[in-house]
Amino acid sequence: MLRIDLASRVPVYEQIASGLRAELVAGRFGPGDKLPTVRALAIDLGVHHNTVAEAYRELAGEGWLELKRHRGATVQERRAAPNSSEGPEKFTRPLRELLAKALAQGLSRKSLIRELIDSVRRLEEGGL
Amino acid sequence: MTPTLVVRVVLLALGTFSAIMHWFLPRLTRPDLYFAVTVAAEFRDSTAGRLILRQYRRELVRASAVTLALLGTLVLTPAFRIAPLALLLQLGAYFAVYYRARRLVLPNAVAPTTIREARIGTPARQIPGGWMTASGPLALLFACAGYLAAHWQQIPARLVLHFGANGAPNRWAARSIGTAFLPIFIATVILLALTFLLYGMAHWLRPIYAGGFQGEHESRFRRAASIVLLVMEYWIAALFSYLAIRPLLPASLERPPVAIAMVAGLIAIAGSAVLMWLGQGGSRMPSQQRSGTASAGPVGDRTEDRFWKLGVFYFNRDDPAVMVERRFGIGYTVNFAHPIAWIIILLPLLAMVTVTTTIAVRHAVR
Repeated sequence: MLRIDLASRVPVYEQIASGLRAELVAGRFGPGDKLPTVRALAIDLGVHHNTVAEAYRELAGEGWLELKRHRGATVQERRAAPNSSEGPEKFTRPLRELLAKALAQGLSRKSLIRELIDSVRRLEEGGL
Repeated sequence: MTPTLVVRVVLLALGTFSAIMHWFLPRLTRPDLYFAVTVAAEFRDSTAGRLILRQYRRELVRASAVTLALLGTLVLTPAFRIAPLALLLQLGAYFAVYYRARRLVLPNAVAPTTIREARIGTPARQIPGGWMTASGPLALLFACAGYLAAHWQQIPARLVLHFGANGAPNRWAARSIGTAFLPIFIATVILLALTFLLYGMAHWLRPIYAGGFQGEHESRFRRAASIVLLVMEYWIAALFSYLAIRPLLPASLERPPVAIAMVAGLIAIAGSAVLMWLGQGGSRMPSQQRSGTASAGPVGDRTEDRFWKLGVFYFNRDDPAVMVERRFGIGYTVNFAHPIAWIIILLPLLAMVTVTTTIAVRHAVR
């Protein structure tokens, strides 16, 4: 299930890309599987089709999808992640910010650590 | 039963059914929509909510008494041909009553959820029975067209263009391709528009709940609404096929059977009754599960109140959905900001008016 929040400060196309990426990383789609067409997903989410197309392009740029005109998006085998010029800093900073936010909202360090360990374990097992 | 009597009975039945339906309508919508306004789900059962409903029903009874009395009077007199105007007046009065109730609800409006959901990886939604079932009515019409073409020489030189309310022909036209195939053409245009709607209910409509028991109920409701539409399509195809080949039938079958009007009324009433029983979007269907909604707040129908003009007309340029659930009523309406919606509404009307007017003027036989 893909879920977005139109009131969020995170751009909608990023929310769509993140949601789909989570599904792809979790292995819920295999190579050759078709994703909904841009138009169908735009109708279901109530957003402009350009927004969905932007998310699909982002995932295609990461090597997850193959986009063909009038044939929609097909999941493709992703052998290796393309090199990122921004390095791990791109991910560690938002992670630290998220942890700080969770702590500020009253979550205990212990439960946060447990959640992080669980997530890493799921990742190692091939899911998320 | 004479055709005139059948028409009178059908008109009275429609007026009565409309009154009954409007009595129940506020309770048939989704719980967080009240008189087309997004409210907290518990609002309609609160004291304020009940008071508004009581006032609405009081005014509805008054409006019904006046308009049904007028309808009854017209139906029982020789002026029954203008009785459909009483039905229009009834709808106008009901709209005024609804609008007064809506104004009372508006101060209690809350913001609908901003969460949107979509199911990924499930098969695309389909028309019930697939394209084979959906193309059946058109196939029947085309078969009739073929039959007419094959028996062209047997078609009389003068064709009936219009029937009176008593079932007797009252306008004729000279035989031509236009007049002989007129019923086929009109029905084709109507059926194309209805097939567009049918396709739209499968592909141009945003699910309000993508999963859970609400999503399942919604799918069932959508399927039931599609089946009602399909039945109507088959009835229209059967009626117009009969009208098209009527000149080739034995004299005993030339007069339209009185049952035709009754069947139309029965389909409309039975279809509406089934959908009312399910509730808008399947919201009245019983369920064991009462949790798992998309958000803690009111969900509404995933549209914003400001895009609903008078609570009835949905107009949102930024929404790619061509169709949405009606807020006050059962079934679906179109997004009037979408060009396809206008094609569905206007094209068949324009085509039918143009063709029938042209044929009536050019081929009328006195």
